[in-house]
Amino acid sequence: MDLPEILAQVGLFLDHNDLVACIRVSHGWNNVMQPLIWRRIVVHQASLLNLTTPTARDQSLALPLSLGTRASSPSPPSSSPASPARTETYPSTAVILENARRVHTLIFNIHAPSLVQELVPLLNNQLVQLQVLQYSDDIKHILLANSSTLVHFKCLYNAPLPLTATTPERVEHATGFWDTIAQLPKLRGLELSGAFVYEDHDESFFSICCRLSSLVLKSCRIYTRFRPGTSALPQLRRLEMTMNALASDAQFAFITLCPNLTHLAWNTTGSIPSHSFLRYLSMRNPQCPIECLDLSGTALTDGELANILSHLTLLKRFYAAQSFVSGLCCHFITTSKTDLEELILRGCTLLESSMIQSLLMSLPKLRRFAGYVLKTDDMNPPLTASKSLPLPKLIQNLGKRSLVSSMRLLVPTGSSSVAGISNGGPTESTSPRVNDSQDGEWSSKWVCLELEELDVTFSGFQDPSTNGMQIIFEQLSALTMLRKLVLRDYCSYSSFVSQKVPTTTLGPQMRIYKGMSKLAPLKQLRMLDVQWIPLDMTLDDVKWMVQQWPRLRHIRGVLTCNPREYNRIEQFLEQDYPEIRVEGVYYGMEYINRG
Amino acid sequence: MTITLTSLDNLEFKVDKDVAERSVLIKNMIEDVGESDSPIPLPNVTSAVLKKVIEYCEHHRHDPVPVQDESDDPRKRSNDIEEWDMKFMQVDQEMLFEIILAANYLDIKPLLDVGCKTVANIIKGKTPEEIRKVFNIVNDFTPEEEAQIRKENEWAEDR
Repeated sequence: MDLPEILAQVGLFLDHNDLVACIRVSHGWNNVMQPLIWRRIVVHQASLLNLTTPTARDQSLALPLSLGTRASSPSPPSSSPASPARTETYPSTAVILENARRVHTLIFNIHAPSLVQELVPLLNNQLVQLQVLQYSDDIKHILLANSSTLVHFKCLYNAPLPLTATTPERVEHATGFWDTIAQLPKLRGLELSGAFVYEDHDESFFSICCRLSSLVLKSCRIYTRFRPGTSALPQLRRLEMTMNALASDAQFAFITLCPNLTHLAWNTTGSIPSHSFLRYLSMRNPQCPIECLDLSGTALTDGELANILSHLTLLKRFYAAQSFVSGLCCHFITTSKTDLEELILRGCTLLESSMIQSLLMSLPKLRRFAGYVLKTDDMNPPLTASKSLPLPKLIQNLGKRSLVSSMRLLVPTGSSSVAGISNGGPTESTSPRVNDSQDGEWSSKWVCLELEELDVTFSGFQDPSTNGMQIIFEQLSALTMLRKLVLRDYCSYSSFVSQKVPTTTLGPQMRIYKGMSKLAPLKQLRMLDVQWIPLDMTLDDVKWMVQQWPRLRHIRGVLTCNPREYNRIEQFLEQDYPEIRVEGVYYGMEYINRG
Repeated sequence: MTITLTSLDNLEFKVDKDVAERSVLIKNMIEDVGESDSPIPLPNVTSAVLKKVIEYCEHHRHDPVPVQDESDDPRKRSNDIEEWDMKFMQVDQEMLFEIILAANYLDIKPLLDVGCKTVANIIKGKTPEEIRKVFNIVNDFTPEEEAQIRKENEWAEDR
């Protein structure tokens, strides 16, 4: 397996993590794969620290840390707490410029105008994708120099005009912008935040849209009028409209111009005409092509959302964070949409814990999931259910047969003694649990074993006899493909939201003696976010973590409030695992930041 | 119309013209030579591999000619191999690489892509040592060299 032509082709299908592994395999592999790493460059905060530029302009934006290059003599001692070892892992400006000819994808996550200026003469007819924070003359030059190849352009803050700019000035700037974009014949993807589309730009805007297959508009001001007879946009496959200053019905009119959308995100707080929307969805022949739908933040009711879902036979990804998703949607998903791959229901306050449990038990292809509160009681229900499961009123009003079948969904399949709803019984804390059986048969298991990202708020630890953390660890241990884990504790999270110090310290504990060792199989874990959990980890716990999870690169959370232990942990990680970034974030009244 | 293809080991394979033309190389040869009964020699492909390639082309004979979908993420994905193709690619490593080489030589882009995606999926998520094991590659880096490369390229990892 060492033919370079094949390796080069294979390399095109690998993400950066795999490429970084490949370049270490052998000299031959290194020669082929190393240039591929330079195809995609992301310039972000940490990398800025290592850039030395001929001009000092960018340095004024950087933190007062050492700006060493790899080739230069040792840099002056830094006055900040950041570890000096880390700054050396980022390529210097000189190295970036040297490899500029290899770059196909260039992404700026920070403002780096001098670097941009230095890149202008070096990037010609090569860029396929460009992402910048702000449009400028230099960016315009780069766009035009790469007009024969550029396919995607993303710009986060469009008009760098002073607040005192007059409307004619803004119109003129926007005209210049749209004229430039119109000169990119290969452009198929455009993503803009804060752009302006005035009436003057109707024609050029629509003629650009006609060519696009992907359009994302966030917080833009759109003043165009949709004249009758505006031609449809059959090429558009992906449309995202978020918080734009444009009337809801005009936004909907734009959507109806797009018959072939496979990906639609419509995040508006304005009212959505659900009848017309349903009609638009059901008119697609033979079935609606939408595979990904994002209605986060909208005010559609649970029933309306469930109705929408029922029209989308090809749907694979559904995002409805901060929405009114509840029982009807969950019922529909667990019965008729079990091939969902992504389901994001963060902050859905009407989403009940039993619904979350039933979702996780019904969707085997799930790769990303975010939910709200999941009670450990629902993960491990008592053998005799001592209370009826909460059902939305609408389901309760259904006929008895459908009531029973929908009950079966919400009750985890437990031992045969779970007949459904029982009439009262012993209190929960003393009754035996479904999963306490001797043979270790875990009967309310989640089926989503291919899960890569999980974000759940757990609740119900106050009762020590149910040993909530054990249940959580047991269940999480099956998710061997997990790459990103966000754990929240309901008590801490809600106290933070209400600005009170949490009244209990009895929260989830990431400790080995509490069973964290069960999580050893999570070998793919790259990111652990435990900022919403009160932790008191010891050095041994942290050592266990970094040894068992070789891919771990990012931890968010304050690992312990004990200052001595914190220092020991910090020292250990800095010395032995400098590649792991630890972010302490705001928790309670203390603010500790590191790295 | 049937075309005759001859493998490296001199075995003849008769295939329909539209199946053979899934290979751009063969398609161009036919156009150059014109209507002729003489067999097309493929000295770079053994009969075992040619048989597999023909099987692929026959199954996909009615597929639309692949259009370069420019709207795709330039980072190509490898998780969209259809089921038949996946089963088709369940062969030993040596055959897998032979198929890729043949697809490259015969210029059958969809087969080349499927082959490369299959190999990419084998590589995904593995450490360098695991990759070496799977492909029987000798590590010719010293531990210091390897650590240096790792350090120098950590910036490229997705966070």
